[in-house]
Amino acid sequence: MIKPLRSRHQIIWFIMPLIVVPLLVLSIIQRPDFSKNTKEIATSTPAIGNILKEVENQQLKVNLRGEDNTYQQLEVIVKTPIEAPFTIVYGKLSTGKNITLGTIGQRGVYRYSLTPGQTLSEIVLQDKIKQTEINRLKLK
Amino acid sequence: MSLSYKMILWNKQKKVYDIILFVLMMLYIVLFSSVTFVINPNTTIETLIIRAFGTLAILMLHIILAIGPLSRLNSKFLVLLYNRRHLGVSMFLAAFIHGAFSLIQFHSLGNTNVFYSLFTSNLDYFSLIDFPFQVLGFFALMILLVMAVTSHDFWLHNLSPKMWKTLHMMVYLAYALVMLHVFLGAFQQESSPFIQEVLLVGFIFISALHIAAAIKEKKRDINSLSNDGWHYACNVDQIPEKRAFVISIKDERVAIFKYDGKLSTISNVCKHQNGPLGEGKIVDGCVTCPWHGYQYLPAEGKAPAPFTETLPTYNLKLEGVKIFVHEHPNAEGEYVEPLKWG
Repeated sequence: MIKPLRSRHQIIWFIMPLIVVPLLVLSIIQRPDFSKNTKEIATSTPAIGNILKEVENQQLKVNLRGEDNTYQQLEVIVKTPIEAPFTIVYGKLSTGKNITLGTIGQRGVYRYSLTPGQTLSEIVLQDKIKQTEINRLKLK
Repeated sequence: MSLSYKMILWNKQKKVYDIILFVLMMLYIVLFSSVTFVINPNTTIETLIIRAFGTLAILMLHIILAIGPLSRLNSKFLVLLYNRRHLGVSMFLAAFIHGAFSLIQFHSLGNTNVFYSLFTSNLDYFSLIDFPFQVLGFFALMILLVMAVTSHDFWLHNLSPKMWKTLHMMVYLAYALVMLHVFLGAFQQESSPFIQEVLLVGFIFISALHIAAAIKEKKRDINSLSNDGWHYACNVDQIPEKRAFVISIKDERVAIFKYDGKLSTISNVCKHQNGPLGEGKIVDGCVTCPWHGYQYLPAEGKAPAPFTETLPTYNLKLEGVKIFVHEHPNAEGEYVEPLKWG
């Protein structure tokens, strides 16, 4: 290699990690937390208590499960396939705050744990790639 | 080396290399598919293809980017450099399959053009975690496409080695785009931190290798001191037989070769891809480039007939066992009587 190309190499490799590494780390720190409610865990999670409330539309059936009138688990049954490769379920609390519940995919039963005392007013399914809303279901 | 245009410059070694490469790629795809079906049996075939070829391309890109600095840090790795272009084109093919299937699966079901859909379905360009990561992958793929298309020596000769090298340094930009594509895309739905940490460590490792190689090369770029145009290089016994000693004179590296009781000096920069001739050795009486085997006669800097590449030669003088090189290069291909010693 000739000296100008060597210099260019050096500049690139001294600068690139300084820009890219912080962006990669930030992307991990800021991503939604699916550790408790991934689809794999949800489908293998047993149902808790009884169905305290149920709501349904053409694509979804949603059950709020728990005991002693306390909601402990959200059960989402996908009836018709969701035509998006990466869909996230958000819950809207009665306080107006949105919480990320987890991912959802093909037909089946998905269960997401709820913090006792949390009251969901509606759930929203969002296509994460196209950033568009797929389905919205009011629970009240 | 070849005088006529051939679609793929294959020889026996390269054919063996390519067969091994193909087998390893297929082995990876089979292994990835088996593990995926065990962990998640509901995975669709399209998703499997996208993930298998995407991860394969990233793995290959890391190997390709490690070969250059490893070769500069330790000459034992030079053998890997010999057929790196075929590795690069194979990596592009894996990335292309990943990209094509992604476009079909994610953007072909609507009533708009797939490329229009790719660029307009998510316009959240000012968000980090919602950034349209597929666009990053698309631009990375376009860079890899340009590199694969111009990888043939036809383009190297027509663009000039300097221009060609500059163009192919865009692989670093493609690498940065690929890393962001993965971290802002697939990793946003990945619950296990293990694979993220592996790739992050991979990026830091590649960066560290390039920085270490750059520091080593910078030390070798320190110009030698001149005395009336003559630069002291080394003592005769510092050069192993049929090998070279490299010094930097006025920002140009020159290689002093010792062979059969003689000394000759030529430019260190191979005409093919600017490879470091001084790291090669004399084979069959010719200086042989360690990168791709281009050859030059040491006394005149000419490729043996019928090849036509030529390099500048340099005048030498001996004072006892001390070798001095004159700073003014001779014309390319100009014969200089080899200096006899001993």
